[in-house]
Amino acid sequence: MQLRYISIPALIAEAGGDPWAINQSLQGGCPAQISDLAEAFHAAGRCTAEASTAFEQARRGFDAAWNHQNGDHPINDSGEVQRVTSSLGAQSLQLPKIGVDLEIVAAALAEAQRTASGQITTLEGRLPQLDSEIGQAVEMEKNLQLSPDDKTALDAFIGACEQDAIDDTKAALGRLQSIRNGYSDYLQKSLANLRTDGYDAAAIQRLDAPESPAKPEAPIQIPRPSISAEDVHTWWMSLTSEERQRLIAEQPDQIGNLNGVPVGARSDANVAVMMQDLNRVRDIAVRHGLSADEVTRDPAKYGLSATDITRYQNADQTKQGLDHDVGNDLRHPHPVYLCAYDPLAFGGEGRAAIAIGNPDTAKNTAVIVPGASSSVHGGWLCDDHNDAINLYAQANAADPKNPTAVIAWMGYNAPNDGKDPRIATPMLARAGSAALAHDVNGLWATHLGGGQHATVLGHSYGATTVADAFCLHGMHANDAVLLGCPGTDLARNAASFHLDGGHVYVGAASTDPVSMIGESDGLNRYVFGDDIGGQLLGTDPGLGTDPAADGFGSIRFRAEVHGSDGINARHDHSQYYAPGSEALHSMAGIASGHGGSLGADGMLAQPRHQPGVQIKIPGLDPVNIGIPGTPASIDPEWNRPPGSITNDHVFDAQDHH
Amino acid sequence: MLHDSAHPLTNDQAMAQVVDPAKQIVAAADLQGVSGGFSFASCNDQGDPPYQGTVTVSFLLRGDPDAYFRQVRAAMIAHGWNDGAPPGQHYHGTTLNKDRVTANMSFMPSDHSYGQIMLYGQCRNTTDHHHDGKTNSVDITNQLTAR
Repeated sequence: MQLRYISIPALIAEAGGDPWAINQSLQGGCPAQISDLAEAFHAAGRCTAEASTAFEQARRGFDAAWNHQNGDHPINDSGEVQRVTSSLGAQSLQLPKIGVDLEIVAAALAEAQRTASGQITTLEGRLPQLDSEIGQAVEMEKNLQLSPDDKTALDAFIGACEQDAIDDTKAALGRLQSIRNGYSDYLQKSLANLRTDGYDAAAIQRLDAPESPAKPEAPIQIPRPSISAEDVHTWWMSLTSEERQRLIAEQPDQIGNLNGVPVGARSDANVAVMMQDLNRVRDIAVRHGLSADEVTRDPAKYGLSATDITRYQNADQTKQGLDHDVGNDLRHPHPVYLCAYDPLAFGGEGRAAIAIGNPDTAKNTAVIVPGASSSVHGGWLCDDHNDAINLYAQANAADPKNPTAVIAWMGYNAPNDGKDPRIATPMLARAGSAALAHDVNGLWATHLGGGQHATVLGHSYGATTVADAFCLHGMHANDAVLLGCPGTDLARNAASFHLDGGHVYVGAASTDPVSMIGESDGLNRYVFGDDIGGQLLGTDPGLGTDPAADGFGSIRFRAEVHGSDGINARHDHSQYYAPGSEALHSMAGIASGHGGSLGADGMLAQPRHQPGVQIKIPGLDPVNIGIPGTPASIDPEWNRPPGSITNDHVFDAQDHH
Repeated sequence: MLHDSAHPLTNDQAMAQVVDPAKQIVAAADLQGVSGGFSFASCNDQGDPPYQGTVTVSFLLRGDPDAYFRQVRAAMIAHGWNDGAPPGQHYHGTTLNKDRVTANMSFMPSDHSYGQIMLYGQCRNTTDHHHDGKTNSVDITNQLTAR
């Protein structure tokens, strides 16, 4: 069946099931061979008149239904009959009863096949007709002489034809489901009878329709998301390869986002859903000779819902992200995986995560958490955001023998931008931190081989989210990296991260004002100190402490911005992943498991400290005495010699935009 | 003009700034099994201008990889490259610079039978590439291997 305008996958999606697949599964059965086996049992036994009549009746049922050309395969049934005969006894009255029951199965299967194929024939007769009618209307629409009314009428006609095709498919699906269920009921009863007869029906299972529920094909239960990733992994590993493929094919949206399922399988499932989301719109665009953008501008006209469009747009952003992250050399693309995909999450902003390199097999995994204004819909995964690709290149250059996989994690609802009041409160960080902890902890369940090293890196509001994931939700990772962090919310110091021998590393450019917001935390606590409810819910302004300050217990690495000559929010808050920068160099070392080398590389920076009075006591080094109650507003990095931070790569004018 | 950071580079200039040296390196070091691509990369994490031209050159590693990387580095130095990153810049992996372009060499992460040189140009291309598709790669293998 050749269709030009109607897409079969789209029909199946709209109908909510695949009538062709059901038919195919029924046609996979071999009723003639079951009937031959029945005949052999009938012939082998000592028949009573009653058994003979029953058998003849069942045989007539089979003959009436059976019209197949391939019914002439003689089954080699003597072995099967001999096996059962010897176990039941040659003279057993059971043998003809087995024959009758088998013949009933054969007849039911043949009848199911006949009616199912009839339904498909009807549907396949109807669809080309509708397709051709749509084609004629599309041709007519190309006529420039049409009045707007004519055009509207033609569009309505095309829409009606499409709806007819969907309705016909839905109807066929319903009838085929009913046929298959009817056959299944029959089969269950007959198998129960056969077991009573003393016959184990294993021999006919390979002849039965493949999707009949008599086989161990009961729907596979997917574990609830609330169970641990380890338990999910144990469950996944207990499945056969066929069962896993079936789950990926039938429930991809669930498998793709289930922590504990290996990354490769999740990616297969997520990519399948993403492609479906893309093709739903692209197929219609092709059919109408339009661009996808034109279709998304007027979805109702093409029978699409707002949800379809959100799905399409987020699938498009995600696909572009996958294409971008394969890197510059298309003949040797980086391996990329879609670890999570939920295009409708967060009110349509979307949830997704892309890994460069396989986190299940790489010794090191780095998870990048972005800050405010980031979302799938807003293009954080693509649109030339190079955080992940730059870290991947440098971490693998730092230690090629112990590979690093990098995950760009757009897994939480980040505040929209500076105008979003939620940016000043930790509410969204706390909500997102639960999901982050869940996803990162899941990485340990599926990792192959020991010695895994995981680093979670948060930028800006994402750093607050990372801090809360460690502090509130028991996130398990070796090291934390906080970049341009406006505050660590409930994590008051490095000890709150509960790192198992690892460190809280901080990258805070001395010219990045966002990284200094935490210095005013004392003021927030003074103003909102009595609002216990607001603090618990995270609705009060104030994101917590500056982790770059003295006393936090972090390790601060150098993260100055080349070419910078003063505090510059737009520019200096957004340079941490730039190639050649101090921060990227340091992060690549940390992510590849070599945070201990920062000192030897000259990459350690002193923490910010309180302004104070330097007291010189003869015979001793000068001592700084802080002024109590003041923020740690002195940044030793301000005193770096200018030559140590290059401006070679920066075009000067852009500092002023 | 290429050295004058007070003036922006056009798309073509920013591309030539990294593609030309990539071609020279392939010839100078007689690299084999070469493939590569070019793209514009934003110089900040917002995807905003300015952009730099970037090239990745992949090549087969012949013999002992470390000895081969040294050999490629020596060939580059013989052709005017300076050893190390530009002053104040920091890279893991073998790094050289010439005419404000940085070359960073290491194993191809996904296949250690290959090496890769990544070339980073200056952040002087001020065209807004947000929606023009030029931040995804174009194949320049034929240019790299034309002798």
